[in-house]
Order: sequence, then C-alpha cells, then structure tokens
Amino acid sequence: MLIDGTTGLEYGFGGDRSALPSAAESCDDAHRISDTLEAVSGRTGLENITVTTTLSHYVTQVIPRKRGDSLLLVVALARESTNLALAARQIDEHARKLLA
Amino acid sequence: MTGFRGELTRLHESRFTGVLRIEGVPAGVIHLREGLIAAIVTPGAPGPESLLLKSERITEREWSAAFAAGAPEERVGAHLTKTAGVGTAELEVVTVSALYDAAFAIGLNRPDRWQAETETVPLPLPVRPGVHPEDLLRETRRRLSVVSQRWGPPEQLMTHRVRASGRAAPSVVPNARFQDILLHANGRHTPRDIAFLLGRGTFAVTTDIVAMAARGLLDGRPASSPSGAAGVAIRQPARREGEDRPATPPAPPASLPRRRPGAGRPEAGPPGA
Repeated sequence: MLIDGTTGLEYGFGGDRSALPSAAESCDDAHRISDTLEAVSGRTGLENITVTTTLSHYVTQVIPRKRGDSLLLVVALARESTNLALAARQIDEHARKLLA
Repeated sequence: MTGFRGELTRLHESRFTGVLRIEGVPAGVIHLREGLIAAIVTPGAPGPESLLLKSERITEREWSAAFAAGAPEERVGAHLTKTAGVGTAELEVVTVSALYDAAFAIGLNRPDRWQAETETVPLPLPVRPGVHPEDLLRETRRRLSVVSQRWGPPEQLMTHRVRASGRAAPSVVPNARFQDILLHANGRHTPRDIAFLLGRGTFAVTTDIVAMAARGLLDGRPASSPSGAAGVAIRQPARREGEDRPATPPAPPASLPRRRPGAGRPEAGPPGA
C-alpha cells in the first residue's frame, strides 16, 4: 500500500488489502513513532518501521521525494515464509525505484 | 453536505460528463468524466500546476512548453515526463493529492449551492480514469474530522493568521517541513496562503500547523487530545453511513482568535500566482 506520509491519503495498493491497517492509521502510527523518537534524540530521519507479530511482519518504508512530502510504502509479509532481512532490502530497492 | 453527496452520487450513477460548479468561499469546479472525478479547481487549494511550479519540480518555461504542446489533447503530463524529467508516478501523486486537497478546501465551504453543466474543457493534468465520488467524500469527511478533533472548527483554523511563537528559530527545528512553515509564519498568512507559497497541499500544511501549535512553535493552541499526545492523530470512531461530520465538534480553544463576520476570508486567487 502506498500512502501520503503527511495526509494519510492512500494512492494505491496491491495484494490482499484486508491484511493491512487503513492508510490513515498507518500514517498516524508513523507520525507517532517519529515524534517520539524526535523528542528523545532531537532529530528526525525515520527510515522504516518493522512490527512483528506471531504470524506477520508489517514493514513501513519511508520514501523521501526530492520535492514534496514523503510517501510511505506499507507491506505485510507472512512470517513463516519470509526472510526479513532480505525482504527489507527488496522493499528498500522497490521504494527507491518507485519514484525514480 | 448530504444534498451535495446525493448530487455527486446521482452524477456518478448517470455516468455524467461535464462540470459541477460550486458557489461559496472558496468556490470550485468539479470536472467529471463518465461519472468519475478527473479534476477539481478551486482558489482554496493549489492545483497540480501550482504544486509543480512552486515546489520547483519544473520551471515556468518547461510548463509553458508542455502546456502549449499537450493541452488540447490533455497530454501535458506526457510532455512533462518527456521534457522536464517528472516521473509518471510522481505526476500521479501530485495530481491525485491536488484533487483530494481541493475537495477538502471546498468541503470547508459546506457547499449548498451548485450547478451541473454538460460543458467539457480540456484539463492539463486530469486524473485517469478518475476518482469515485464515494472515495472522495469519505476522505474529505475524514480530513474535516481530523482538523475538528485536533484543533476545533476547521473554518476557524483556515482563516487563522499563522504566527510563530518565537519559541524556536527555524534553523534549530529538526523537521524541514516545520522550518519552511515557520519562515512564513509572520501573522499575515493563513494555512491556505502558506500552502500556495510552499507548493504544498492545503490539508498537509494545515495538519503540520496543528502539530506545530501543539509543540508551542506557533501561536494558537490546538484542541486537547484525549490521549494527551499533542500533534498525534486521533483514531476516528466508526461513523454511520451518511453522517457528514462529527455529532459534537469540540469547541474552539479560548486562545484561538475569533473570526469576525465578513473579515479574514481567503482571497479569490493565489498570492503571487
């Protein structure tokens, strides 16, 4: 799912939409975590968020834009069939190509 | 907005092609193609052209050349991709976000007078195949509700002249978006003015302004959050079908300037455009 990182607007999705939270909720979660970390470190610069449950990995990848607000790529992965390190790398590569 | 929603639904079901002219401040024109919304034009929010130019993604010369070559056939986007290096996905993000942003601006107007006309005009950057009216109305309701809950009545915030509190200089604020807003927070500009100045969406700038006020970077105080997490979004409870706004929007904070009738309305056109 590709969403606007500021407004929470959903631009599009692929696969099983029901496996993901709403675009607005995903955006709110990213803001909340970014704000918390900024309060602690005094810096911004969130790159990704990975949340793992017993069944799934949920990866939120920040996609910076040269001009304009960042986007968020939100992906749900089945835990039993996913190498998280490899998946994170592929998601990062995909995110880089998306707006190239 | 129930009557307006019914009108958009009717136009969608009849696969209407034409324009829906909305009166009020801000006014707006919704362009429909086969019942789907291809573009919305309003002085209340920057359009795709303004977003591309003000953010310096493209130059005036590149826009003029692409417009001259592609406007009649609605192929300005294709020319920009070819000659100005704007990617297809980037263009789609800009045009779709501008369309939803314009709907938010018109939603502040609580439209109650409109007129459908069958005329069609070429659009420089239409959204293809278009946005379903239900998706647009749902997102607009969410945005109005977000502003209501975080600050108070959205109409008041949109006429609020944004002023820096002086608590922090722009250079020491880590968030680059906040820095840009602080540079224009001189007490003369509304959120909509700043959106035009920065080449960002009106709703995006508005949400940043609310978050900045919660941190004490701007004058004015947002509505207190039940969770106590200022500047963080509040989850929306499920709303019944057909309900346009929260039943009891929070009262404006005591420190928020009151709007005087007839004063402080957005101007008719973008500043400096």
